Amino acid sequence: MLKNMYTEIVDSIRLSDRAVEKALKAVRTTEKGDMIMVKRNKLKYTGMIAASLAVVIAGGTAAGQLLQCNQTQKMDSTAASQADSHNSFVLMVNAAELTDEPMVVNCAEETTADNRAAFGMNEVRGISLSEGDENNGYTVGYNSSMPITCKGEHIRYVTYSVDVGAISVSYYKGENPLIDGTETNRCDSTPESGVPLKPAYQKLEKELVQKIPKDAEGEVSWSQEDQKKLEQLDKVFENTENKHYASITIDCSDPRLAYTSISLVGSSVELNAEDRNYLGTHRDDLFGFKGEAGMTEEKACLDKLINGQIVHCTVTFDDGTKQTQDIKVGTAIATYAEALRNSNMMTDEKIAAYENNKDVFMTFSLA
Amino acid sequence: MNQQIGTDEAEKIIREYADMIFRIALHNVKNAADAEDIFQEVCIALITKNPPVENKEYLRRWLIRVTINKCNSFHRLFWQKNTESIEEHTELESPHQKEVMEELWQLPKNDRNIIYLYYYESYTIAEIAEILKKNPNTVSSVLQRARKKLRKILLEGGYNNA
Repeated sequence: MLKNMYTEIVDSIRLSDRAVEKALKAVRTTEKGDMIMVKRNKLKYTGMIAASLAVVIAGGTAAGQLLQCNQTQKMDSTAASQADSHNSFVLMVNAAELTDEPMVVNCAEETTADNRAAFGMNEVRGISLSEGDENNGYTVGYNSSMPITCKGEHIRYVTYSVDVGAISVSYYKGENPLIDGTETNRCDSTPESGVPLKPAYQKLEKELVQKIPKDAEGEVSWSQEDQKKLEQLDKVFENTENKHYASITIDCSDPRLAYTSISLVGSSVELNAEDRNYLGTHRDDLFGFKGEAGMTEEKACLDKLINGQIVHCTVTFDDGTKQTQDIKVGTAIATYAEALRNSNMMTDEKIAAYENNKDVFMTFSLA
Repeated sequence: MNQQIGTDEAEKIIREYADMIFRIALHNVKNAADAEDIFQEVCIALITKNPPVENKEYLRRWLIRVTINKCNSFHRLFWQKNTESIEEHTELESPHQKEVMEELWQLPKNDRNIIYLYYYESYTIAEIAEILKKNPNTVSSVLQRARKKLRKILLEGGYNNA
C-alpha cells in the first residue's frame, strides 16, 4: 500500500517535452573541447564565444532590484574542464527560463537573490514612465528594473555602465554597497527610492495589500489604523539615498545588495501628443490596451525612450583579468500570461481575463 | 574501448530515461529548474563519458549513479532559494499530493534516494547498495528508518489516493 501510494505520486512527475528537446539540442551541438551549454536561465561562454539571447523581461521597480554574482557549479566534461581553466562568467536574468528566442521572464511573488522582477501596483510591464506637461515640453522618461545576475568563478567585482541614460541606485542610509560609482546628471528625472523592504516591512506591506478589495477602482479608503501603517511605510523610503550613476562597481557577495535597488533610467524625450497617447499613460485599467491597435506604435515610442541603451558589464576576476559583455535593452510584444504568471499584485481572475492579451514588455539581450 | 554513442542512439536513450533522471534529480535538489539543469548535464555526460549501452540494466544503473553524483556536486549557495513550484513540472492532481511530495523532501537526501530506488524502481537492497556504493547493511537500516517516516507521511498524514 505504501509502495502504491508513493508510486502514484512519483508517476505524476514528468519532465516536460520542452526540457527534453532543449537537452537534445545541447547534445546535438556538443563537440568535445568546445562546448556551449545553454542551461535553463543562463548562457555560459568561455569568453571567446558570444551568443545572442533575446530576453523579454517583465519587471517593475516597486520592490527594488538587485545585481548579484554567484559561484557557478562545475560541469563534468572535457569542455567544462577547459572552460573552468579560463575565468568565465554567466549572465542570468531572474530564475525564469531563457532560450535563444525572446522570452518573457516571469514576475516573482517576492524578490529573492535569483528573482528580481516584481511589479508595482500600476506598472505591469516592467517599465514606468514619468510624464511632463506643457511646462516642460511634454517629455517622457522611462525607468525599468535591471534584473541581471552574474555567476562565475573567481569574480572579484562587477562594473556596470551606460553611455545613455543612467543607472539608478537606491539604498538605505549608511548601507551603500557600491565599491565605486560615477554619478551623472544626464537624466533630468529625480532619482526615486525603490529599495526592497526589509522583512518586517514586507510583512506590513503584504498585510495592507491583502486589505485592498479585489474590485477596488480608484483610491482605497483606509482606516485610521491602516493609514498610520501606510505612513510607516512611507517613512522607510525617506531613510534612503537615491542617485543616478553612469557607472557602478559592486562586490557580488556584499549582503547589502539584498536591500539595494538598481534600475535603468532613460533621459527624458519629447514626444508629440499622438505618441504620448500610444504610450498608454492614460490607461483606464491595469492591463493595458483595449485591443491591440497601436501596439506597434507604442513599441516604437518605448524604443525612442530607451534610445538604444546598452549596459556594459565588465567582470574583474581575482587574478586581475577582466572580461566584458554588453547587454542591449529593448522591447518586445508578448502576452500577459507569460509576464504575470507569478505576480503577487494581480488576482487569478484578472490574469484569467487578460492572459492572452498582448502588450509591450521590456527586453534584454546579449549585444 | 566503447564505441562512440551515435546521436540517434543518444537521443533514444535520453527520451527513454528522461523522466527517471528528472525524478531522481528532483528528489535530490528539490527544485525543478535545477533538476532540469542536472538532467541536461547527465545527457552531456552520456555522450562524453560514453558508457556501454548494450547492457540495458548496466546503462540504467550508470545513469542513476551519474545523476546522483551530479546532484551531490551541485552546490546551492545559501541565498539560492526555490523559485519555482513543483506545479510547473508535475501533473499532481491534488493539493495533498503536492503536500506529500514537499514533506518527502524534508527527509534526508540519502533516504529519499533509497526510498525512490526501492519503491519506485523496485531495486533490491543489494542492488541499491551496489548503485550507491554503500554497505548493504547500511542501506537496509536506512530503508527501515525511511519506511517509518514514509508511513508517517503517507498513511498517518491522511494521504488518500482513492
